[in-house]
Amino acid sequence: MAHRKKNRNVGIIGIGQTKYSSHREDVNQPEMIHEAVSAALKDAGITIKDIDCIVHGNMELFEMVHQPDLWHVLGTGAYGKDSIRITTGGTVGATIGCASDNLVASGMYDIVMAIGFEKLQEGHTTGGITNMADPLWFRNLQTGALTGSKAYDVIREFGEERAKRVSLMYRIIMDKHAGLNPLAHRSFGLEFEQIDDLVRTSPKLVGDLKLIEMCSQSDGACAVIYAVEKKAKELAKTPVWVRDHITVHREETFVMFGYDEKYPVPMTHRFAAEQLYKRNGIKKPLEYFDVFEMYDPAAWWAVDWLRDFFQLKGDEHLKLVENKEIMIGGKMPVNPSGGVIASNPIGATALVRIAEAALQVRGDAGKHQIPTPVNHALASGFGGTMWTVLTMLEKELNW
Amino acid sequence: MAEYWGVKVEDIFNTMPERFRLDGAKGVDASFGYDIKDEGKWKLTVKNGAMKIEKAADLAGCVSIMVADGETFVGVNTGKVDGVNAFTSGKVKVEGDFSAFGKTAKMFKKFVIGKKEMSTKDYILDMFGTLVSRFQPKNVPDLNASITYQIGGEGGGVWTAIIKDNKCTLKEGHVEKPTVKLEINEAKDWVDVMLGKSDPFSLLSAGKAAIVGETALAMKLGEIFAKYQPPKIEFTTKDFILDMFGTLVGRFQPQNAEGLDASITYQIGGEGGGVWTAIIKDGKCSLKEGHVDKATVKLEINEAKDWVDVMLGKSDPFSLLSAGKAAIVGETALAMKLGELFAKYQPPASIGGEPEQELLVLKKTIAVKQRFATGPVMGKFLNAMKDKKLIANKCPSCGRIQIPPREVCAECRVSADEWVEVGPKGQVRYMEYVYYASPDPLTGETRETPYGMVNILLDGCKGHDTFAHLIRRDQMDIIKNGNNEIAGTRVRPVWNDKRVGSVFDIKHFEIDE
Repeated sequence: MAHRKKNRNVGIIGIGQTKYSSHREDVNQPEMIHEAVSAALKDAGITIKDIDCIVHGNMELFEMVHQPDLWHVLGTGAYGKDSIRITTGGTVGATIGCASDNLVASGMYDIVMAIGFEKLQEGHTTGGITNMADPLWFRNLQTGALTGSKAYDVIREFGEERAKRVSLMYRIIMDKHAGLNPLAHRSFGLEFEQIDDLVRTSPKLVGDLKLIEMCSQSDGACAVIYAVEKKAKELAKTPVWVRDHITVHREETFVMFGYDEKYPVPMTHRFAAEQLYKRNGIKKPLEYFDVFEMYDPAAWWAVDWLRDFFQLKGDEHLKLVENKEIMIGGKMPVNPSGGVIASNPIGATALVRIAEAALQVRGDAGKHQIPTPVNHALASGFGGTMWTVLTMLEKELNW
Repeated sequence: MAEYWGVKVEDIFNTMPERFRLDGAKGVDASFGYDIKDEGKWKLTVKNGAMKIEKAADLAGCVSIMVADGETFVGVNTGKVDGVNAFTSGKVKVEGDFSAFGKTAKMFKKFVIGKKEMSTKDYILDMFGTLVSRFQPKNVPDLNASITYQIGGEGGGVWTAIIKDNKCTLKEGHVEKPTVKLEINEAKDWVDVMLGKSDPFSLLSAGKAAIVGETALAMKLGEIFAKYQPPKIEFTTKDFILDMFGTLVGRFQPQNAEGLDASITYQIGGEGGGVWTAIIKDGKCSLKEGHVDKATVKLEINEAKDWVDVMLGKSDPFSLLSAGKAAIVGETALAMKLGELFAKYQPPASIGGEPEQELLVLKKTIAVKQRFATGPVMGKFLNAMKDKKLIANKCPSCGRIQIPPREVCAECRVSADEWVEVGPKGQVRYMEYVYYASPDPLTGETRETPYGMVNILLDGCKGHDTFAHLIRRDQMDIIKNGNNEIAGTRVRPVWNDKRVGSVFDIKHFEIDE
C-alpha cells in the first residue's frame, strides 16, 4: 500500500462530549449535537467562526433520517461553511476523524471539526444493522449485531471455564472504569466476586454471548477539533498530534471463524495493526503505547481483539486481562473511559475513542486519567462485518 | 407490604386484569411466574386471549419466572427504574425461557400511579428515593463526605448520603462521624423547603433545624443535588372525566348564554363514562348526574377516552362524529355552540413544584417496499435452487469456493467464473444458538426463539467456505460443531415444494442419518 507522510502536521485542540444515556428525550438531535459542539469550542477556546469545515457523521439507518446534516445545521454550526457528511457503519466516528485529519494535512483547511452522534432510542438499532447485510441472501438469516461465534472460538481454544471467566473479568474491569467516568451511560458497580454468579445468571443472547457482555444502545454526541500545526501550537496548551491512521476493509463476510492454521484468513484488525506499526517503525506495540481506547462492542470480542491489535501470541491476551494489566494502573490500560460496552452512541462511538485517547495524552481525563504519563495512545474503530480503523496519537512532535 | 413510590407490589398484580391487552396476548398459551423477594410468588396464566393472575405457593409449570426485589419490580412497572439496566445488571432475572417472557411486556398497558394526595411521609420517601439520581458529581468533583439527615416528626427518619469517588450512595440510619448532620425537627418543614415553599435559613433561625459539623458543606447542598421535583400526578380517563364535569359549572360563560333555556346531556360510554346533564336557565348553569326528560340536545359518546382526547385538544369532535364514535341527538346547533358556553377545559397542573413544559415524543413508522436486482451471478445461483441444486463459484487464483457465489474474489480481485456444484449435504461447522430474537426484516415480526443459524461446510467445499442457513428447530440441541480435524453433524437441506429462487426455497437443514 502506497502511503506518504503528511503534508502538514495536525493536532487535536478541542474535545466535547455529551453525557451518554438512554434518556435524552429532553433534547432533539440538533440540540444534543450542539451540546458537544459548544463543549468542544469552549475546550479549544475558539468560536464557530474559527472553524473552516465541518465533517458530520452517523448511521442514517438507525434513526432513518436521511441527510440529517441538513436538519442538524442548527446544532453543528455548519451554516455557510464547507461541510462533509460521512457514513461508514460502526467505524464512522473514526472515519470522520481520519477525514478531518486528512483535510487539514492536505492544506485544504486549517481548522476542521469532526462531529459524530447517534440517538439510538429514536430508531431501531438491530433492525438497522440487519438491513446492512446483503439483501439478496444474508439479510434473511443474520442476527443483527449479536453473535456467539467469538465466544465459541475463545472457549474452544482456551477451555470453557477460563474463557467465560476472562470475558466477565474484562466486563467488570470496564464497569469499574465506567464508574470513574461521569459521562458513561452504564455503570453498575460490579465487583470481581460476581464473576461466577454472572457467568451463571446473565441471560444468554446468542450462544455464550450474555446480556451483561454486550454493549449498550446510547444517545450522545462527540465533537473533536483538528488544527494545523501552527494554529494548534498557538491555540492549545497541549495539542495532541495525530501521527497516523489506517483503514482496512474487506468484503462482507459472515463465514470466517477463529484462527485456522490450515486455512488462514487475513483478519482486518491484525492486518491493520501490522501495517500501521510497520510503517511507523514500532516493533513492540505493547511497550510503545501507554493507553488504548478500543472499540469493544462485546467482552468476548474485546478479549480476542487484544491479541490482534498488540500482535500477541498464544494466551498472552488472556493474561493481560486476568492479571488486570488492562486496568487503570496496569501495564496497558484499555478503555479507561469504560469503553463501548458502557456507552455506545454508534455514530459517535469511534470518535469518542479518539477523544478519550487524546484526553489521556493531555492528562485531562479527570477521575479516569491513568496515573503514569501518556505519550503514545492508540484508538480503534470497528464496523461492518470486519472493518478496522486505527488512529495513533502522540504528545510530542518528534517522530 | 412495603410501598414504593406509593405503590405496593400487589397493586401491580391486582391491576393486571384491567391493564390486559388482547392483541398483545394473541397466540400465547403459557404460564409465567413472578418471584418477588419478601413479597411472594404470583402466577400469570394466559390462554385463548384470556388471563388469570393468582398468588401461588409454587411456580411449577411456568415457562419462565421473573425474579426481582419489590422495589425494582414496582420501579420497572411504573417507569421509575430503567428496565433494561435492571435486567442487564441482574436486578431482574428471568429463569427459563427468557424470550417467552418478553411477550408479557406487550400483554399489559403501562401501570399508572393513581391520583393520590401525597403525605409528608410520601414526600420524604420520594426525596430520599430520588436523592442518588439527583446527585451532580460534576459540581463537586472529588468530594469525599457523608451527610446525615436526621428528620423528626411524622414521616421522619434518618438517612445518610455518602459521597465518594464521584458517586453517591444512600444508607438508612447514622454513620460514624458524618461530615455534616442536618437535624430537622419536623418532617413537614423539610418537605416545604424541598418544594420551595420555605427556605432552610428560616428553619435554622427559628430553631426548627440545626447543622452539626461542616456548615459550609450544608450550604452547598443545592449544588450537590439537583432540585427535588415532586412526581407528576397521572390522571386516568375516569379522573379526567370527573374533573371535567367537576369544573363544568365553573367554566360556564353566562355572557354567551343570554336568554338560553336548555338542557345538555352528555351520555358517555366505556371505562370512566357516565351520564351528566347541564341545565342552563336564567344565565345560570347547574349540573346533575343522569338524564332529564327531553334534553334539548344529547351528546352520545361511545368511549370516555375519546371524549377526554377531545377536551384535551388531542382530537376533535368532528372526527368522532364522522367515525361514528359519537352522535348528536336533538338540537345540533346548540351542540356546536358548546365551545362558547363553556371555557376550555384545563387539566390540573401537577401538585407542588412548578408546572414543567411538556416534552413530546413524536412516533413514526416507516414501511418501504423494496426490490433488488440479483444480477447474473446471484441470479444463476438462485435459479439453480429451483432445481434443488446448490452451485458455487471458485476463485481461479486462490481456489476458494464462494457460496452464495460472489461476482469476484475480493481478496484476489479477479472474476470468479468457474462454476461448481456443491452439497447439497454437508457438515455443521458452527451453529449460532439464538436466544434473543432479532426482528425479521422481511416482516418486521420477531422470530420465534430459540432458533439455530448454521454455517455448513457443504460437500466439495473446504476451510472457511461455509454456507449459512437455518437448522430444524427441534434438532438444535443435538447439533455438534466441527472443524478441520473433527467432523460436525451431517445435515441435508429440506426443500420447499414450491421454489421461486430465494433463500427460503430451502426451509431449513436437518440431520442426515
